[in-house]
Amino acid sequence: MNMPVDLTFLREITGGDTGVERELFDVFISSSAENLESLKTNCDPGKENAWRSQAHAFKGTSLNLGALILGHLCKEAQENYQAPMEKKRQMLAAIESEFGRVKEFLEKSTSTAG
Amino acid sequence: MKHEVPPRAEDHLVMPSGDDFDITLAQAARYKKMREQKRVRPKLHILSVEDEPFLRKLMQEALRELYEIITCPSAEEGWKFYLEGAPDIAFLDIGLPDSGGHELAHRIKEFDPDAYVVMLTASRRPEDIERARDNRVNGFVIKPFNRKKLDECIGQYRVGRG
Repeated sequence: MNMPVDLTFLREITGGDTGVERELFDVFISSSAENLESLKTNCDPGKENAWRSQAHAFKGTSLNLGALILGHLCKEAQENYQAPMEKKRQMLAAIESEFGRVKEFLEKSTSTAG
Repeated sequence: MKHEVPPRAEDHLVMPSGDDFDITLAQAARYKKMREQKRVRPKLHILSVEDEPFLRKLMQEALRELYEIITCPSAEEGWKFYLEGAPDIAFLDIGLPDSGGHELAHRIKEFDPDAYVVMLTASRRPEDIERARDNRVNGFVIKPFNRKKLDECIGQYRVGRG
């Protein structure tokens, strides 16, 4: 299975400073948890634009972190903002599961770094 | 023979109006003063307006070593910081929670046509590109961004400003 995060570009910015990386990962995890909650509350019909805008924001941060699979899933959610609720729930489950992998990866990288 | 004197940027200073973007005469005067100080500032001053906390932090980390960087999450704050700091370069996200990056770019360019504004966005929509062009912004960078993309933008600014 593919790695959930490719940190190549992020490390060009952090220069491998683990303290900075830890701060960045913390911000990513907390803001993504908010994005996820917001997607959950905007699954219903009539909230398509809010869904699309949350998926768009989540996509942007994921891709900038290097969480390419998560970014791709968010892009799919953004593009299918008019999908029926059942389909949206499926997309949401996939995003949530992938976010779990990303989070685990980030937590492991910071704990390994000490 | 009569020579045309090119207008100075100051001659183009106009007073924008609008709910979120009103400015006082004192603010305009301070801005003018700040802009004059640009020439002697030891570091480039950069403003990043971005509503996503992770991307704000990332911009800060990418630029703080070499530049003075100010970040904020909304167009209204961006406008305030723009007036207060007269940054050399402003990176603006398009999808902001209040009035939006295009509106802010428009206001900044209306206020100071010499401003250097770069849209930093995940949007590839033709209408966003068209609006950015209409606002005469100086750059349009597609997210995800990395150090190379930011360096290129700053490099273009330096080339343009001699």
